[in-house]
Amino acid sequence: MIDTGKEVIRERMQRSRSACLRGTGMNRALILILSVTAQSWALAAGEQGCLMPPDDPERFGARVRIVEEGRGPVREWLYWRLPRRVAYEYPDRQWAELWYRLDGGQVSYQRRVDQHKRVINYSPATLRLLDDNQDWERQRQLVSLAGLTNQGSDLYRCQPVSRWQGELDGSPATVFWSDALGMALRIQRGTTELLVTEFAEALATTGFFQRDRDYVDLDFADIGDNESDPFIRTMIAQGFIEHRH
Amino acid sequence: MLKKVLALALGSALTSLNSTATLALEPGATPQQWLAAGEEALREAINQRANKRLAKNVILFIGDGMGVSTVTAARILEGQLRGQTGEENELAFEMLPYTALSKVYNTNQQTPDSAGTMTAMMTGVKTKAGIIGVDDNTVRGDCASSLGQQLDTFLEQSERRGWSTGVVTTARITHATPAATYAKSPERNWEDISDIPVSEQGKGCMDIAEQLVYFNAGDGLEVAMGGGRRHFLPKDAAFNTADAVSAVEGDRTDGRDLTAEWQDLYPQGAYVIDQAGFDAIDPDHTERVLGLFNESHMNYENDRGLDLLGEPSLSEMTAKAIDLLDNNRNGFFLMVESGRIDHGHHAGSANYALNDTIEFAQAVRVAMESTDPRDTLIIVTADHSHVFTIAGYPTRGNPILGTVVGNDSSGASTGINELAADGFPYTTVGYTNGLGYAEGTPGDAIYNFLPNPGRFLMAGVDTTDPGYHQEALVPLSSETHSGEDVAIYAGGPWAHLLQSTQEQSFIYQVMKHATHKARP
Repeated sequence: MIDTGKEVIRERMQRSRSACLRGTGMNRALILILSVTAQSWALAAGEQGCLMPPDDPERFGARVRIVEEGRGPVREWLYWRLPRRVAYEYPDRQWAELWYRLDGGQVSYQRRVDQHKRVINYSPATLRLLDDNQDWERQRQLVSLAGLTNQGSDLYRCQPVSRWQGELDGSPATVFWSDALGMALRIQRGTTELLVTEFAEALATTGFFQRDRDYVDLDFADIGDNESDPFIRTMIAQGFIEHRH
Repeated sequence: MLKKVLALALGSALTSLNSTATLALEPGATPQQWLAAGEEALREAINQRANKRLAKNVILFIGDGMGVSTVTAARILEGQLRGQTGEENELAFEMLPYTALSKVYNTNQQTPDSAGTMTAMMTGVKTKAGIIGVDDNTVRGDCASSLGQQLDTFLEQSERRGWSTGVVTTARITHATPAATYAKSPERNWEDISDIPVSEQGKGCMDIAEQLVYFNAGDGLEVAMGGGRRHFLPKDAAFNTADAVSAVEGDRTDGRDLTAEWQDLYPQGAYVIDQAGFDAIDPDHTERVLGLFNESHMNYENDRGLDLLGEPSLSEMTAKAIDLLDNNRNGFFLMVESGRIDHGHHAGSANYALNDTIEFAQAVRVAMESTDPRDTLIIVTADHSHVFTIAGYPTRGNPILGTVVGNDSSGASTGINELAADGFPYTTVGYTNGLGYAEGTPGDAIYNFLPNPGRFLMAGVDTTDPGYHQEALVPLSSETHSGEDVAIYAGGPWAHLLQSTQEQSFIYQVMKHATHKARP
């Protein structure tokens, strides 16, 4: 059946896009999740002790949690960092997103599906034409400080941080920023906040990035030639590449 | 006034080739002009003489996924990019004098894939989808079943006759179409050792990259240029090149660096990975070339400027390959593939597919200009088509990537968008299936989003933008091949054998006859 009204069409477009974005880039998920407008805050239970910072600010992992007022934790993922590399791992779904910064500032992007031992690659040239996935700073820092104002020093779970305020994607926000790690440890926006809840050390980080040593690589450009590939079929069925049918 | 428009400014070499008339009439031509143009074309057809000489050289061009609708739309787009109305334009290969239709099915599939179709063209034997250089007794993915089923390719035969041979592609050099010229594999995806399941390793099947390096018919390939460096390098960051776009560029899990092994095998050869290396090759004094210009596929023509260290275009690679191969006085066989026409369509992007088709036509033009039609057989075809359509009743000269602006009851352009029954405009070109509508998502970026089947287009959207993806009816993870026939265009010795509707495997017979028989 064909929808006829412009509003209906716009809504369908947005619904389709939003569904996808929620399932992919965490920065984009953050935009969506943090886009609620109320101002009250409450830390979720278990986030009150002191954080143990990593020894090496260039090689570590972190557990990141999204907490929504009145609902508690709504989402969690793992953050992994190496020099020029950053990854977001979603253990419950057994897949991860990985970014790699090239000389000259280009960023390459992969999706890794541990369950199937597969890696799907984006062409950097194509990726360069997309804005958000190329935002290396945002992926690595969890937020871009551009447009925010430094409000002075503070503490977040015993860690020295600087407090930044301003608008993130059009909404008032506060960012608790670790200069030592060069990343946000806490972001408040509306009724939702992002929290770094614990760190992992370099060994675990290396393990994460080496996990795909025997995985099979596939380009997005190759999906069209591999419809009969059981992995592609499974991914389609699971809504990784496609859903709705 | 009758205007004889040479669609392309071809040199004397091309016009002396038994090519057809390139008459084209611009809008406003009178009936007398149409008749005069037709008579001239008829004279040329009558005077066309079959060339029954022995072919010294053969060049096979494959536009991967370049169905007839793609040729038509690219023809119009190329003309419009030059300021013409477009419909009257001709792509370079449309000036070749002979045309036939090719039946493209695989032995086990109504709608084919590139592995089975290219095997048919290179060996004369149709086979299954997904398998390369082996007959259809092979079970896909089963190494043991493929042993003893290997087929002999025209490229191998050329090498054994003392010819030089070359393979040029914008896809990975280990991808299905180029691989079918030199490799045998029960699975098109076994591009390197890491792609072969452990259960199939050690049974006598070699990965495709290794087969390329150790290809031993005659004295081995003289030219291999394309993408796919990852399949030749170890999965170890220490082997990354300066052109790497991944943290670990190589995929090989056996620790072997096949680029180094190739250089050991051919110390006089040139291994290059970027535009500068390519430009530095002196084809008159280079024995052979291995050019791996990208970790994976080379860039779409639209995006070539974004490559880290630069990549040559398909036409540049074609020119360089011919200049090197024609050092052999015995002759040469060259296969040139535009691999990314197919990928543009799979992504539902007419803009990307058509711009790669235009560059493909430019590569054919280079070949037509730099070879002698008396001794060089040129065949241009596709392995299969796509579900790509040209529809509606747009007025003459309407932008081929635009929305349909029709004519009024008097036959003149209305100047405004035609509206479908849902009240919204629609594009001339579109797809039956695939990911469907999108804006601002160039090329393969579309795979990051869920399908948008159906109608979304509203007035004011720039449908000619590279980020625009045409609407599709059936939602699929990517747009699919189609099962319709594709065209074959040919010129040179024995090209006249290519007429009527033929099995795709007939192309092999023509190449073999032209180079082996040479009898009237």
